[in-house]
Amino acid sequence: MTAQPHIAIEQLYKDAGPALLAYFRRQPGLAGCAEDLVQDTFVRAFRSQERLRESVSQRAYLFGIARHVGFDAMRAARPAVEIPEEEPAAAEPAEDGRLEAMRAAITGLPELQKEALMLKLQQELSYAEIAEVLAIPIGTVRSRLHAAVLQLRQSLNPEQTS
Amino acid sequence: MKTESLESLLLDRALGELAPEVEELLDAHLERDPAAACRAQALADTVQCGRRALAPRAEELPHPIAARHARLEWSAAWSLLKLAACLAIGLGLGWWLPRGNEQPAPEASVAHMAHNAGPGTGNPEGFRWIGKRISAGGERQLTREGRSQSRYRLIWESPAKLPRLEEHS
Repeated sequence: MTAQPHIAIEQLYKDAGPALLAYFRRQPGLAGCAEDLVQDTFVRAFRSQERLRESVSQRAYLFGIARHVGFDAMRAARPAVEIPEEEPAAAEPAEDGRLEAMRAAITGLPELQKEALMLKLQQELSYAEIAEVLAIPIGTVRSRLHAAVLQLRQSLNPEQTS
Repeated sequence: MKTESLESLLLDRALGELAPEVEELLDAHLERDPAAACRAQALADTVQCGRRALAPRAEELPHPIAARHARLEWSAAWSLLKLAACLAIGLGLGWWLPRGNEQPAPEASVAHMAHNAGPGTGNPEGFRWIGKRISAGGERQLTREGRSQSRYRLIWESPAKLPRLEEHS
């Protein structure tokens, strides 16, 4: 039997751990158990090491798993435990009002567009990586992101049309 | 160039998805088309603004390992503090209590105490919180008995420590 090189798990955890934690913490209802969900993500990923090794990018593969872990956590019956939402960081007084408008515009995007946009702008994933995470064609990722950016542009500058 | 094609290219450019050679060609085109250049700048600004709007909270998050370490260290310190307080109260009470009705302890109680004070069972690393998660790896191998088992196993003793892979001996 030829031994295949095993995944550099420590490095992967160092690289992707904080981003995954941020990913879970930004989802309403998952913030309180974000650290557990990061663990679940890694445990699931290493149960299928070969797929992880063969993925377009290991980071994208982890986000794909994280997405399912998040869905499962949402689906799991935990309604009795009220997860305290973290207090949103107070906006700095000098912060550009445009950013607030942008956050509102992003919140108003359709879910599918918002999900792709957050993976792009927050996690800096490429079209191909997002396609792997969401298990959709690259063309669909591209069109969702284009639509999202145009929608944001429209929301921030309603007087300017293309 | 068709307007729709140009718009798609400008969006790809703003999202950082154009190949360098294509971006070079597009830049050359934008130099000759001020309206398109203006549109390109507007889209790039929108993407940049979106990135800024989404970025700060993620950057503020501590590294999960560092956060867990800090929490565990505080938890361990707090436990030690409570233990020290209990010892101080116990010693204080023992010193202050009247000793008139003291009776010699039966000899058997010493042996009993020694029996009860067996070797500590605490985690040598001092963490109260222990979540042991062991997961089988993907690669399989045959044992001497002919059973199939994973080549590696994932050992993650605590989120305060890094996970590691260990090869089955």
